[in-house]
Amino acid sequence: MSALLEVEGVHAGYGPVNVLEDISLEVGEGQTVALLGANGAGKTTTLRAISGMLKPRGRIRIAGHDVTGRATERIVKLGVAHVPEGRGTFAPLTVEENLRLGAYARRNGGPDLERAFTLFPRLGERRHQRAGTLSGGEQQMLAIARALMLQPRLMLLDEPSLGLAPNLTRELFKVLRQVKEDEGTAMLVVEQNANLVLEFADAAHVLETGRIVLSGTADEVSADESMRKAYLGY
Amino acid sequence: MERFVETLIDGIATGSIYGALALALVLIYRSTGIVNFAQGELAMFSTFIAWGLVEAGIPLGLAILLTLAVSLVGGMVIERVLIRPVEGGQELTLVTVTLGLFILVNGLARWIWGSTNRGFPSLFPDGSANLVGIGVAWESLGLVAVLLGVVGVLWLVFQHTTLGLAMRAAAVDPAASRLVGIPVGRMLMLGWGFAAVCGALAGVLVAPRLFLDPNLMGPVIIYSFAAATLGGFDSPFGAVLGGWIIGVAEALAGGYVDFIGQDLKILVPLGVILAVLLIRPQGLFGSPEVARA
Repeated sequence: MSALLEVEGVHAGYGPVNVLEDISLEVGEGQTVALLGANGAGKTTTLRAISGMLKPRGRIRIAGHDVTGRATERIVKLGVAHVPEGRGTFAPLTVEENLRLGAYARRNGGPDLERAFTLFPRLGERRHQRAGTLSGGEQQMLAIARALMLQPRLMLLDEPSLGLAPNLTRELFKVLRQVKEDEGTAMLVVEQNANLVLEFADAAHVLETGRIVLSGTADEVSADESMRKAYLGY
Repeated sequence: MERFVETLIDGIATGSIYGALALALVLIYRSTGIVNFAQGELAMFSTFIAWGLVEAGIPLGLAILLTLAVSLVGGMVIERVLIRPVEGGQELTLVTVTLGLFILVNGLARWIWGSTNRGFPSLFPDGSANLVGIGVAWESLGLVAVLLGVVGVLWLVFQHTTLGLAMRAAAVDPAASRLVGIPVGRMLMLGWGFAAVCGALAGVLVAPRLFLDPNLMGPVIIYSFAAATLGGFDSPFGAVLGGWIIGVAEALAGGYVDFIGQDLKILVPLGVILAVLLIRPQGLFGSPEVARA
């Protein structure tokens, strides 16, 4: 049985600038994997390569399908929900419209708005409000809720806690944990807050200038001396 | 008084045609951020297709429906072939491409159909209906009804279907749209297709009042630009209301302001464009950005 997401020897970049050097990693069905590393290490680029937002060299397989170089909207159809850095909500559209768009690529059944409002009650209160008028934290909730509308097999989360107050961050990870346990959604999470994500993840990879320099279970990575000094700061 | 009301109604009827073409401009501007200077010429070309079908013996109503279908496909093909390669480019590039398209379509029409004037049959019966003592031409009622019908259909599609929602999303943020699985390219093609349909309607509605020749839409497009500018370039309702206001202003100025008369009417839309750009650049219903940092 092969993993849900297989990334093999991927190189990618922007124009002539190569960012990723020979990245290989796997995310199993229902598994949570963290991507750690300093700014500019290539974490976001890795996610963008997986969801087809840029064209990588190498090989990326999702649920057995080779998706290397495939258009983003077709990769989404395989059940991949990417919550980008900076959220990517549709500011002039309402909360409800944003959520309905999250279910656009779903083949079975209509959008389940009530579930989103159960997970994020604040969004229910604001369902007819334009997304652009929400606070930063609410917009992040909306971005996650919209991704969940797809009922994804794999979520790619780019810095979900960026710019959130600590209590909101805790709330957000509580929801993610719940989704993971209830539905077995696999997640690949890029996060600056390494302590937080290592508590939550099964495995982790540390990127440094476009290469994976350390891989292991979350416990192994947390325990690694160099890792702790360099990225966790204690 | 009666003359005033008649002038008013005439203005609204004419304004409905401007509104239909302004709708086409708005549809493309909303989805691709492009002001399509060739919109009028595309409408003229569609009208010639309808004329050709009528000449071939096809009943007018059916000929118009066929023309709308051809326009839908034609608009989509133009987006795919001519606009896609420059999409997201600099504004000047986009403007240049639509101006090139203007010249191309105009030249093509001259080459195929020549520049002689031709009559075009009206969809509506002659004569007028009696509404509370005022005679209103069937044509005027028809024009308003068609425009309202088009707006109604567009509103239903954009506000109440998943397709319309996806088209709006693709217009707002193409990258985020791809991430939820929307085929953005296809949405932009559809936007151009819908616009071509609105333009074609404007063409077949205006042609019976003028003569059909390759310069058919020249004056109309200027009034439509004024309508879209006044209503707000991203607001379909604004385009319609703008069309009516421009139509009425034109009729009143032509009928009541001596020094304007029929010859200087063209100053009305130009004056409106200038005034709107100076006083309220986003137009009556255009939305300034609502994003929050």
